[in-house]
Amino acid sequence: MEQKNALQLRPSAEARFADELAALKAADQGRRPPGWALSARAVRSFILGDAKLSVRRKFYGDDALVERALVALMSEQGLMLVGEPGTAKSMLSELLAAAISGSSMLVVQGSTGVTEDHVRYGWNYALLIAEGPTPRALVPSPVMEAMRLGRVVRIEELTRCPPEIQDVLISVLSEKMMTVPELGESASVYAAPGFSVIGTANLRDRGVHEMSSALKRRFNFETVLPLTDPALEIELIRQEVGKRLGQADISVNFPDEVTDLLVTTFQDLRRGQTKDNVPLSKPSAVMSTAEAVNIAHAAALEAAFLGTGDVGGAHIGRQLHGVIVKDNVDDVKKVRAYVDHIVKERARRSKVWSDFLGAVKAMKDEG
Amino acid sequence: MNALDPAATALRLFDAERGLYFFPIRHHSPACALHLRGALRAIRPAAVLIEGPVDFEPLIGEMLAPGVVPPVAMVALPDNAEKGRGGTTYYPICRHSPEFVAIQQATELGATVRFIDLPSRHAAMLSDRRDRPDQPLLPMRETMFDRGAYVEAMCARTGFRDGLGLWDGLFEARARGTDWRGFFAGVGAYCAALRAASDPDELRTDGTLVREAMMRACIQEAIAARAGPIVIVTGGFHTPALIDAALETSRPAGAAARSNAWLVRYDFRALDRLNGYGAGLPLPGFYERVWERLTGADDDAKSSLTEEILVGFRAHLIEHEPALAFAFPTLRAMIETATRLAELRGLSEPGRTELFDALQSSAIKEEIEVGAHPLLAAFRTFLQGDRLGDLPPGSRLPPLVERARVEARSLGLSLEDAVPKTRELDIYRKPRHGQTSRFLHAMRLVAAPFAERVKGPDRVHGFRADMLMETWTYSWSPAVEAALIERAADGETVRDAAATILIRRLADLETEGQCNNAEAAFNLLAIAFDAGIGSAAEALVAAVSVAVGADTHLLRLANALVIGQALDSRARGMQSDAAISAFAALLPALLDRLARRIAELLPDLAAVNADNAGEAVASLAALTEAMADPDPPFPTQPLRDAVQHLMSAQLDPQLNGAVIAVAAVIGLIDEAEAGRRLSAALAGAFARPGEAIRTLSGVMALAPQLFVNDSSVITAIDNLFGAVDDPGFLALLPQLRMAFAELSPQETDRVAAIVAAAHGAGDHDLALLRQAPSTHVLADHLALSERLRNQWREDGLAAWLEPAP
Repeated sequence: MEQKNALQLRPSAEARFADELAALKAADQGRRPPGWALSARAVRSFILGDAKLSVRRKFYGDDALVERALVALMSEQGLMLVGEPGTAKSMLSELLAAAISGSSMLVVQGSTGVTEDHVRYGWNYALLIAEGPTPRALVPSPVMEAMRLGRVVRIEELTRCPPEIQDVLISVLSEKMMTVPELGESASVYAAPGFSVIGTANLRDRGVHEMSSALKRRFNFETVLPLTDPALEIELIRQEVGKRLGQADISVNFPDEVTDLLVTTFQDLRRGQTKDNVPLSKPSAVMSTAEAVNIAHAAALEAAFLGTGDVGGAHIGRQLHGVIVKDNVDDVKKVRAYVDHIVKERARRSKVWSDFLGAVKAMKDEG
Repeated sequence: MNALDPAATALRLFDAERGLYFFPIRHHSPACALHLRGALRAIRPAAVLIEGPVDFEPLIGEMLAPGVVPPVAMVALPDNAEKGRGGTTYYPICRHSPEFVAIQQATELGATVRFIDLPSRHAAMLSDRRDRPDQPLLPMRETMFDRGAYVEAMCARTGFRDGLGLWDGLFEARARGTDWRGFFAGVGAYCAALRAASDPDELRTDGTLVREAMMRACIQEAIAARAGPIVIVTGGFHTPALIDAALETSRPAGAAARSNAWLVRYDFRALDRLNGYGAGLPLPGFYERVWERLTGADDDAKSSLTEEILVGFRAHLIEHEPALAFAFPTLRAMIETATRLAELRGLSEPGRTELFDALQSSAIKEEIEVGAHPLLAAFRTFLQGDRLGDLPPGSRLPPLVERARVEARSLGLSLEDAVPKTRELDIYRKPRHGQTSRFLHAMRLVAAPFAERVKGPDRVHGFRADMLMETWTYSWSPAVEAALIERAADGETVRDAAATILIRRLADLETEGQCNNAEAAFNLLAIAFDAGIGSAAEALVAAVSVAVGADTHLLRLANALVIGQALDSRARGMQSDAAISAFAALLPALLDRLARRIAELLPDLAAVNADNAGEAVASLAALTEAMADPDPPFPTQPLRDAVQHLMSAQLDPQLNGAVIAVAAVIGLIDEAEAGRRLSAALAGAFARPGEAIRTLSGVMALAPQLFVNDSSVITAIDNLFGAVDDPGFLALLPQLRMAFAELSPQETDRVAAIVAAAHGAGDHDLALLRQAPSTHVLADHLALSERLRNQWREDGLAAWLEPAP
């Protein structure tokens, strides 16, 4: 099933950052925890950057969180990343897995449709009928693979899995083994050193299953918060968008003022307060950095293919609409109030803001 | 050479040739304290100069006296002369303060110890570096360690999350070890960089430069009197300005000022609050444990500091906040996490940050919103510590503190611990209890945290007759002591200080434009009375008298009359007491004036309209309360005349009812006459039932018995309802309910029986009513019936409404 990188829409983290991982490995002096590809400090450098080895920073925000996460993975505990959507939980788990195990490919994508086959094992039914239950007929789950190989398995959106599936994880995490009764009384898979579980979850979303306290106990929890530093968010957006456009060989002129507008709007609405402490009503839509990147990306594509290649406030304005109405109609009113009171004021002093205002107003009139 | 070059500073800290050794420190830093102790033992200086206000020097000896248990604080009280420069100066010291350790060690080595900063009340020390005016003044403020461009840049480079984490990681983590030169070279370079990144203008305006001139002058003096090596211990921020600059030959102006300086008991909570304002490292409880570890004789203790703290925290939670307590496996995981984090961060053992991280990572199994969680808050409080400092008996304290303690003890109050205690006082019959009560009232004024009166004579419980006892809770805590110290300038005894405070409050009334508020003035008088402050009686009474003359507010005056009358009757009950007799002598003249003033203002009620009637009725109610006394201590005739006059005036209906009630209560008319007048008023208003009810509520507010006892009045009101249709009645209901709320349940029953009898209903029907649904439901249902009835009529179904044949 291995695909060549060029053909993948989004290569895995270990493929994208192969050079950096190699550089870190070569320079790594630290003691490696059993089963790890790198020392804990090298993993930290991989995620938070190391200027000497020209390793880029990939996770912005709380450095201490990354350190706590590493310590959790070194211990017997699993790691549970919680927080609102779009706060880079999945990205962080992918980076951790790539650096610790050298592979981020062992992943269970949580949903209500997940069955025991996805977390324990299934069978190749043709072989099962032909040979009966043999090791050859057994199809291991990513969890079982991770146990065998001593790697990190990622379980995305764990709280979307049905409770019985979550329960399976309790014994896996506490006993670090999985029995296969079909292969005989003593047939079990034991976890090799380096095995660990990283879960991600959104505890507040609708339609999730509450985690049992038995399962909670086996995880260390880390809350990933949205970025609060505008400078950081601007940098992140610029990097991400640059990377995406670079992959598609597109070049546009994306002025700083426009990124600034995007981040200011997002931070204002996310906090429910402007920089000058004017209170706003907070829309319920997710105003994450990931959404901002999507808007910036879409705005750049529009400028490149339908415009002159110069990204302006109007492009952002047209894309913002999509994010806001995604969730509910009330939000539209809240954003309208923001536009009418705050944006209008800013539009008087800046061309970018006034283009933005024009575009948002035009969308409004249509809607 | 640039004096502010960090590297150069670090190199020049210790100059054996000149015999000068500079030690840059951070306040309350155990690492600095420990290395400083080692350095002093090695250098064996002849003199140790410490950055402390020079006027606190006499306290050095007191600090070392046996029986002194830190935390203690050196404090200086505001001088009476420096008006507007409020705020007490605090210089807190705990066991792990480098200054304290230096003083101890220097004394042990026979070195002279000098303080070299400006006097605590020097203008440069009072310069407003505080963010808010009510913050305490701190000579040791060092916010530069917490914020600023340099700290931020260092955090970004090293990965520490804030200035405190940075300090811990760079320096506290290096507490163990013997290389004090290397350690202070590091601190020196760091502080010099902080200094280089700060704004020179700010240093000039906030007084730093003048203070440093003083320090240089003191160093120069020490050099002149040299008898051996000199050690200079100052906040690291100042070191670069002292080390290479030319020494001053004379002290700045005002450097010789003395102040009222005292050593006081302190506690970790107060200390940590001060640290919130930038006075050294926070969480004294944590750093004291660190210090104990560092200096403990038992080096290979059975458990690590991390274990000790986390195990202790769990035990603390189980005992005090079981809802937050975590399981034993979590504790194990926490210790492991803390240790591994320290390893990952390149530290020899977990520090403050690692403990918080371990707790957050292992014990909190849910999303944490904006970094706040009750468990983290509880851990913070735990690490803050709750140690109380102590001073040996007989320590020099502001006279007020000692006098208060002596007086409290002589009255049999227990001051041994901070547990709240309860005391019942028989204030009229036992003179000693009376004294205790007055002392506690005075303490309420001077040091409010000491005592609280749970029960006693007041307007709610009644001033006279049945209220003979007072109940108090009290406890002596550092907060009490701190409050007393802050008041120390107000007087030497509790009573003197209380008198000063009362006079000040009176002056405050004036500045707030309240000097014509008779009620407020009388309240102050009542406080003075309770506290037995006879010395203030004359001044207060004079001020009250002015207020009475100027006040045009009837309600306030009437309330004042109630208070004054109660004071008078209590004063007569305690005539034998000297403190009270001053009041007893002055009150009658005052009350006379007050009563006449009210009589003057009463006729104005004729002009009151419906909007203000409520307040007017309240005034009359207060007046009635005062005049109900069979032997009132004020002339009643002018008041009676005024009420008589009002009775013949054209009044707002509610007020009319109230005036009839007053007249009946004070005996101007008898109850029968009152009933007649009331019936007439009610009957006269039959076309305007709303007014009738307002009249009724006026009566009810003052004398409900007039209504209840007089069946003719009840009949009058009943007739009135007979004339009102159902929607009209529903509209009146809210007002009616308000009016009847004054009646007791028995009175309500009585009225109901009379009305029922008038309508031919018996007891049986009344009993049935008692099981009726709530009035809301009843009203709703009646309204619904009415709507149905109307509907049927409209639909031509009126016949259905007729009873079946």
